[in-house]
Amino acid sequence: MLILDEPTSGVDPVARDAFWRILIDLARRDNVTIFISTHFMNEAERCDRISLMHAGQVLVSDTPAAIIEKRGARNLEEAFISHLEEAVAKNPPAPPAAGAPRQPQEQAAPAAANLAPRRQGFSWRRLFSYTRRESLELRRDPIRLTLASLGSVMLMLVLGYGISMDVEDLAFAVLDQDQTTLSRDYALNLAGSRYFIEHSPIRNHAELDQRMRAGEISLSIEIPPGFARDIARGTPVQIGAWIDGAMPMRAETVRGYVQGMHQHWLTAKAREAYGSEATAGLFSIETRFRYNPEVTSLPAMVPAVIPLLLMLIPAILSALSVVREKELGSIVNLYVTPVTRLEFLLGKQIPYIALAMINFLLLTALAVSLFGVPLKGSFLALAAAALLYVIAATAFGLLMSAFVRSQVAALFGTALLTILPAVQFSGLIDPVSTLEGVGALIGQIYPTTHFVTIARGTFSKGLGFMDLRASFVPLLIAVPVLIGLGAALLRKQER
Amino acid sequence: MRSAHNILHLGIKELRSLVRDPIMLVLIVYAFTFSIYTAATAMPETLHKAPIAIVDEDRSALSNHIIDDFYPPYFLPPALITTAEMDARMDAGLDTFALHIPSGFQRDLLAGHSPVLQLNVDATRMSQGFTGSSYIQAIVSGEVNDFMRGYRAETAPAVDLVLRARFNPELDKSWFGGIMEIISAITMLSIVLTGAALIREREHGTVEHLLVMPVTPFEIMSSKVLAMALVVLAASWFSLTFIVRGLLAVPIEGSVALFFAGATLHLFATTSMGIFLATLARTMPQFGLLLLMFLLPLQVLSGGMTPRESMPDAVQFIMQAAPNTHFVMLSQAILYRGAGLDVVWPQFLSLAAIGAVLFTLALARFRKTLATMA
Repeated sequence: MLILDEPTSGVDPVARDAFWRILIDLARRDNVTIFISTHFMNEAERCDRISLMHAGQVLVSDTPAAIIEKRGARNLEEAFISHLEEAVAKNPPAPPAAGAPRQPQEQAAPAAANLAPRRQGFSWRRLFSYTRRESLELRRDPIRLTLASLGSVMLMLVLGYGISMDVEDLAFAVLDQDQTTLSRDYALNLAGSRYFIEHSPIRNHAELDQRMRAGEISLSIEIPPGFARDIARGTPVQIGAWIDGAMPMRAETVRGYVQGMHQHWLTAKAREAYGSEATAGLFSIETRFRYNPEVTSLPAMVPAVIPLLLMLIPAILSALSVVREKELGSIVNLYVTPVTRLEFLLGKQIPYIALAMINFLLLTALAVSLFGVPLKGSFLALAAAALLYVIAATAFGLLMSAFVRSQVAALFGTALLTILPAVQFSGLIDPVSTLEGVGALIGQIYPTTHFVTIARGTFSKGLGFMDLRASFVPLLIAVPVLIGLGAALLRKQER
Repeated sequence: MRSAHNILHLGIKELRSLVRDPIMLVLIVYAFTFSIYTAATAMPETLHKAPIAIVDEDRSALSNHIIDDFYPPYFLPPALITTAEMDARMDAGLDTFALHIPSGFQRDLLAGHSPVLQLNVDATRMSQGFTGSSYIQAIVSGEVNDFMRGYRAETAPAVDLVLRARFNPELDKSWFGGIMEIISAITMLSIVLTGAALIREREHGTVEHLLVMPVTPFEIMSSKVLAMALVVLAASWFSLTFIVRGLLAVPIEGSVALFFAGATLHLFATTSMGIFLATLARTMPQFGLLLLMFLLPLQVLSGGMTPRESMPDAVQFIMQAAPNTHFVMLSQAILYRGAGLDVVWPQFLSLAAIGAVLFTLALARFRKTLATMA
């Protein structure tokens, strides 16, 4: 439908004719309903139905031929003047004719279907029209589509291989003030493991300080003078170990390794000295690393990277969808049409949910094929959780989008409120139960936490719906809460 | 001179448009205060409140001693369970550790039969599982050794290992978390601000206004880079002074001025990167996706989360080209280890080089984009 308000005023006759040909073409061939206001009677004649108006009142409404015939006039111009004169005669104190609005309204081609009475409440049709609009926009932006799917694949490769919790190849150096076979043996014990790489020996304390400050070595071992002699005599000896504490996580791991290797060396020495039966342990601890026997990063990280990516990308995409209309002005469609806020938001959300589910399938396929992380549990449970989760993620984006006023703020806000909680508070690295303070609280309610549990449960632990039902509940709660908040924050009228 | 004047005024224009977006300002304040505080205080000690369950089939004096050894803050009070419950609890993620003490443990130990304890670890929780199991081994060994003292003679040589952590003696993670969070906020904000500011001008068509004014692309780009770098610098100075040193009481060893010199160089690189990404994208959604694709690897692989030396060699090599890697390195050196310019000059040099390359690249792309628009 087209509404044109005096489209031809001030246009020369040739252009006007060309313009009218286009209009007729639209009306007849493409079945477009056109409303036109004009004060040229020769234009009005080309329409199917016209209404003659005066001072805001419709005087008559009919086909042009019928109007002429009823008035018994020679042409439309005359019929119009006669109608006007009649109207002016009824209202004597009318303003001078010069300013009199002469606005025959016309209506072309297929008469407008009688407008359905405005229906309040929820309409799937209006909802899906927004879905269609949003999917069209997505489909016509192949770069965005490619970035969204290839982007997640690429990020998964980078993060899956890059985030490594294995601490190895750590640089260490020895300040050996003893320089005996035994002291060198101690250093070799460390250097021989895959965790440490020995750098050139340290000559004095000043050098030790300087090299640790530069971060070149993360561990330095100091063997005191008379080390071998004292051990032989049975005098207690102390070996000093300095760990770079700048990265606490790494330092903890180093501490564990060094202690372990120190014990190992002592046992080995004792065995050399007293024979093997002396060191047959008092007891032993058999440690079983479950779900991930090799204690490698991949099986632990890959299932957790999927939730991370399924939060970030859908949230960023949907976060821009509403605020973009606000910035570019097309939000006016929401303001002036009967569509409700919920229909508008849900309609916009659907294409992004679909896109995110495609990403989910891609990422899962990648995890199983390329990364070789088997999906031991129920795929159905994982997929159901993923669906709930991406609904929550896109709803979160829409909430952000309804709240902010500029795309910049939406982008920054979404990145801020998804990356930090998803990376740090959702159990990706540290289990949520160990977090403290506000972070712990965020971790417990953030959807990513629960999807990480489900993803690890299905991938590594071979679990299904029943085992994981406790983690579904928070997701089921998050979805309506986020959508409801988004609808509440979206304004149906500009302030 | 004329050019500097133009840059100044264009820069003021950028700042004005930022001030007119109150929600954005609130978000910036949030990023540099609350977000940093939360991230820093949430980070647990490596072993903190680790959930452990114990199956005690021995019920002897020794097994009771062992159970009593697990207490906060390292472990949550142990849950005493049966063998049957063990698997279900681990599947549900309730426990990271389950220690099984077999019946007759104390008897076998005294008889010299070398009994075996079984420790189950949920290895999907890597960091906790790994450090925790070595703690548990040490705790149990200590308890058993105490118990057996007097029954057997010491045999191992008397060599004591004295471990000390430098620069952060307590290995307090909030020291680490606070600074690393500032670094990621700096990176994120600078890229978003410059890039989005440019995209917005394109989407609204105000770039056309700039095109018809007597200003060069160099001036337009420099004004954006400078204005946004200024905002980010001010925010991070505030954050470092009041949040990190004030509220979190993280001792700073080195020179704050030197750190901010490094931050300025880093901003030069990241704001240029923002412009570069904005010239690649046509619309804000495209820019948002590009942003994620660059931001996430920058933050995760720069050494600010996990140690760089443990990453695959290829990743380490590629990340040499990222400004974050060098910025994280120099920040750690200056702020924690008190290093001076004599130590961190290679990072300064790399940052300057990366910044120059990015700026030149971005400027070339920006010129080209403007030319195709005109």
